[in-house]
Amino acid sequence: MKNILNPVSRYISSVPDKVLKRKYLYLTLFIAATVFLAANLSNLKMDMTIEGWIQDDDPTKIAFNEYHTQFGSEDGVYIIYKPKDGDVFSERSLSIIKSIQNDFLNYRENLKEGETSALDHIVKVNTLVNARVLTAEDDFLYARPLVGNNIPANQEERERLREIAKSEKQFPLQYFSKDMKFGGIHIETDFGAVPIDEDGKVLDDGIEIGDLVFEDLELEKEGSTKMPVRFKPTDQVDYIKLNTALREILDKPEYAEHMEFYPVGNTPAAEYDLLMVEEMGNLYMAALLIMVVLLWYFFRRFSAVTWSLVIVILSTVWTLGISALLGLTITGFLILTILLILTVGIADSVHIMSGYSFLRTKKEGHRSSMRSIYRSTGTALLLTASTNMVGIIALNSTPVVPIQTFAIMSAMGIFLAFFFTIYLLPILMDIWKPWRSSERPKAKFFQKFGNIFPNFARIMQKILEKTVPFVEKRPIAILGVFMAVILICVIGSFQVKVNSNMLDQYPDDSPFRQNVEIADENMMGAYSMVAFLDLGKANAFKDPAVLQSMDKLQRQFEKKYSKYVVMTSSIADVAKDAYKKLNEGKQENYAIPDDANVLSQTLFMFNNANPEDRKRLVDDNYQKANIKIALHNYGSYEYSKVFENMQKDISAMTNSLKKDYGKATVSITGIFALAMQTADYLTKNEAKSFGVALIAICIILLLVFGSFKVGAAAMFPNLLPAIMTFGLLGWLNMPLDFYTMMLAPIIIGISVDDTVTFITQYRHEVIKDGNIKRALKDTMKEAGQALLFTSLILGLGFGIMSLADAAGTSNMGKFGFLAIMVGLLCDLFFLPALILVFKLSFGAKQEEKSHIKLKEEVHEVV
Amino acid sequence: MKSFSKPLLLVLAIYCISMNTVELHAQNAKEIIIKMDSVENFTYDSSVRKIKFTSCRYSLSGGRLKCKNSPRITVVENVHKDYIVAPKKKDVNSLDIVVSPIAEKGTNMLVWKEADQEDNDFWLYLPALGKVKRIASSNDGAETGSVFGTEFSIEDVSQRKIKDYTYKIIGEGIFNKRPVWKIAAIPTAARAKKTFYSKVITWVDKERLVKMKDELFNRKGDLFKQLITKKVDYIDGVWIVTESSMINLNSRRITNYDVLSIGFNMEIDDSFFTQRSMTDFAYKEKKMKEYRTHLKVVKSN
Repeated sequence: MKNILNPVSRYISSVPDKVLKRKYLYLTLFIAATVFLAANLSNLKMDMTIEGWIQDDDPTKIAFNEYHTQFGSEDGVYIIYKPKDGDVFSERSLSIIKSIQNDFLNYRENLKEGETSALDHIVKVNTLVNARVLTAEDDFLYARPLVGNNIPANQEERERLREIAKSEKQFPLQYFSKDMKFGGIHIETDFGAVPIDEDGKVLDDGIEIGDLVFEDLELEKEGSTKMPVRFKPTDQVDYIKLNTALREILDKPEYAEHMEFYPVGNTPAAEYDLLMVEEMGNLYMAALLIMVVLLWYFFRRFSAVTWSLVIVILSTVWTLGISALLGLTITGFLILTILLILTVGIADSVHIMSGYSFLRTKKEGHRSSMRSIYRSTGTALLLTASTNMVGIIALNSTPVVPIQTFAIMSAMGIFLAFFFTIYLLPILMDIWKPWRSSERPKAKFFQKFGNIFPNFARIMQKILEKTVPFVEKRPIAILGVFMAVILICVIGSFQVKVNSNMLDQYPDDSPFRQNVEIADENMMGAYSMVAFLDLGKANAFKDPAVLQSMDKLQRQFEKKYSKYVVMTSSIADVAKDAYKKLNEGKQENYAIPDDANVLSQTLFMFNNANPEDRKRLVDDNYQKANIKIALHNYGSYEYSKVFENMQKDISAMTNSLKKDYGKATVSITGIFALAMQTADYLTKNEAKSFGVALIAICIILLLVFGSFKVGAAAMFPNLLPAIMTFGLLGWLNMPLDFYTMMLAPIIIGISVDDTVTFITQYRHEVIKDGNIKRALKDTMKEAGQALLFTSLILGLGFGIMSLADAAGTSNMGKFGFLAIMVGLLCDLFFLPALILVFKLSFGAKQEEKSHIKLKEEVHEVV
Repeated sequence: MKSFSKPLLLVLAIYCISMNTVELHAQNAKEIIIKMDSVENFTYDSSVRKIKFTSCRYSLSGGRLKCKNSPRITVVENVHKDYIVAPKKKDVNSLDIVVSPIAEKGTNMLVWKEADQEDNDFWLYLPALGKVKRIASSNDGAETGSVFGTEFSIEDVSQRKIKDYTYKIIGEGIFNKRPVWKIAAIPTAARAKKTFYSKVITWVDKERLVKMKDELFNRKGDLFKQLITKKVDYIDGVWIVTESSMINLNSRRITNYDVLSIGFNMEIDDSFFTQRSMTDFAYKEKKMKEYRTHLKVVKSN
């Protein structure tokens, strides 16, 4: 293995001299490429939607699109309102709701010809006022709105309406709470149901008869369509615009004076998501500022700060520019890629510049310091970059599209940070050196300013000097402590629950959280999902056996999963209601008729009376239908189990119908189910990939260092930060969610970076004379400083995020800080103890050397 | 002065002419619609017809509309009779009987439309339940119920009252090889509250005065449906649309309307438009047998 690393070391150490020979040519090339790639940034495709998480050919996505094709969007807004007079049936409450409904639907009156509005996304508004009721009076059958245009002024009439509303099975909880103190407005939108063509353009609905041939309507042959129908994914901006337009109406004084509104759904959530993103953005800026301050504090040179940031910024711009050229679609994970580039870029440049200033302090010349540090640290950086890239690529083994893009972009970012550190940093360091001789006078202001703060580099060196002797005295005890910690954490990690709750991204006191809680406690809940049934045969849903099974299944859901399911609705409920109304409203007739013709004609009557509602529940051929399931809010851990059980119940139901409907298929879909399934899938899968990544890294280390002992020794300090994080999550009973899982690549990056740097440096030292103790001391002095610098810079940078209001971001900050610090402790104590106990010398034999190494000499000076 | 007054006069003249043209156009638009209404509604006073509705979700490929699922076919027999109550004003009674699909066979609908009444009287007979139900449907501007579950809504098949709209010619041209006027109809304020449509643009055949196409805009002002006349036949002195399609652009569904056979101006008993015809199968069949003798085949099923 020496044979591999040695030529690489030699090549890397020769890079500074090579690039400096033509430094202005290279610099021009770098600038030109950067300008070219930056110009390409505008071509970046963004997709911040939940639909974007899943590949187009994934069965869940196909079912989701199929549902949208058939039944339109289910991504609506549910506005819960609380009248101040405490009664949703008071004259004032009803009048206001009628006005709001009118404002939502008739906004066009205030628009100019051709002017568009965010409210154009509204497809339908359902309220107590226009909720359609089928009423039987003598032989009259009325299909009409519950209240209609005229709000009854007298109490008696309103009480009559209240009684009708209460008797409608589907109205309570949907339109009013049990105590009538809360009401609900449902807004159906076209979000996710706007068809697009292969290029993502919205399909034009205008059909020109001149070009059209339709002598006979022929049935499209199966498989004749090349592409399944695709829909425009809903962007955050669409949600925010609609939310603002709705807010403008709800905030009108005449409404706001009498009512409080608690909107839920993706549309109002977008407003709070934006706040969270803003908070996250601010915290990232704060983290960056902390890193800048610490960089200056440790190096005392603005050049060090500038060049570190240049490496980070260039790596980011190039990564994004190349991604644009490759046609990759950026998702919400972009922020994580940037964070990773920031981590790796700063670590890479700090390792080089810290080593460089260490050697310069020891009176080595500019060029020879560069050569020397690139030989030792440059090789370590190559190893860390490769292992990190392997780790990230291992995460790519998931079918979740944004993760794949994230893996490609992050691997690219890591490589570019390494590339710039090796080929550009020497030029930059040559132009503006990150080190100044203490003999040269400083500018007065900076001298005074700098003197306020103690020089941390010197304090650190003193601490580092004491570290190895400390470990030398009690290596076994140290190993014991670390192994005990590992054991405790491993036990803890078995107790970790994978769970993502949609609400966790909002702070406890967030109004949106409160809105969801109000919806959960008083009304039908903020979330819903859909069971989409295709029985493969026309008129299947006119078969009494089918509707009876469907009805049974719904009641089973409501009873068995009463903790989660608020209510269900389907064509079966409609059939029961219509049959009852056709039979003088007698309660005993609230059932699915047994006779197929009776059922068919009952549905025929309903279809004539209310075709819109029928189309939302069952398709024209009565072959495909859906069951809407209103849900309470719980995390993905519970829902993944509930979904699984529900799927079993549905399968049992379809199996019972298999004799007549052999081709029946059922899928659970809807944006909530999609999000829950994806979150669960994502976290579970990522946990697995994380393990694969760690193993892959350990194998690489084993191969590169050519020693099983070294590979094993490197493995433990790499594992500990991750195990520690998992263990703590387990012991603290905190879920491994989407946000804590986002840490995985960062933890891998940092622990690998530190450990590999340390071992490479140690290898470099120990093969000189085989003297383990001396090699450890020298490694600690040189690499230890860089480790401390990077850990403190990145640890405190991450740590600031623990101040976030949102639990997700805050946990990321806390655990990120912890993982980084644990990684540092591992490298300072655990790794040296392992090296000492297992006598890891890379096969080098201890030699008596008469001359004292240059570094040791300079060390004495320090 | 001379040189100045000439152009001024010219401008004035053009202004007067154009104002007149606007007036003429407004006048013409309404007149055209009245004429079309006469052809559509006042050239025969009774009819019997057999109609086929074919409905499905469509997809558009290579300029062809294709069904994405098996089309739903409903065949209906319709008998109708007009009662002129004043010039260009009539009450209409009609009975629609479902022939197929089998599960709905015998289901029938009786409709009484009175000239001065906003809402129609509407009865539905469901043979499997043995019940006649009078259905009152008030929608306050929402989309009205559907005709036999097709893309034709009750409002689409109801006669648009000329007084309820203002008309304007917005263009002329050729449509389906026929010269046409393009006329926009905007509902009056009172009608706007009742109708689902904010605007209707009608293509009227200049020579035959029949409707060639309707573009129906929803309350948002978006094109919502298109009614396209595919075939017009001249039968017994009547220009009649025998094939048309209603395309719902919102739900991407289409219904083809085909007249399979038709007959005009026969004697129809007033008592036929009562509940007896709905429930008494023997009576209804006896009468229908008589009326069917007037049917002339337009298109073989």
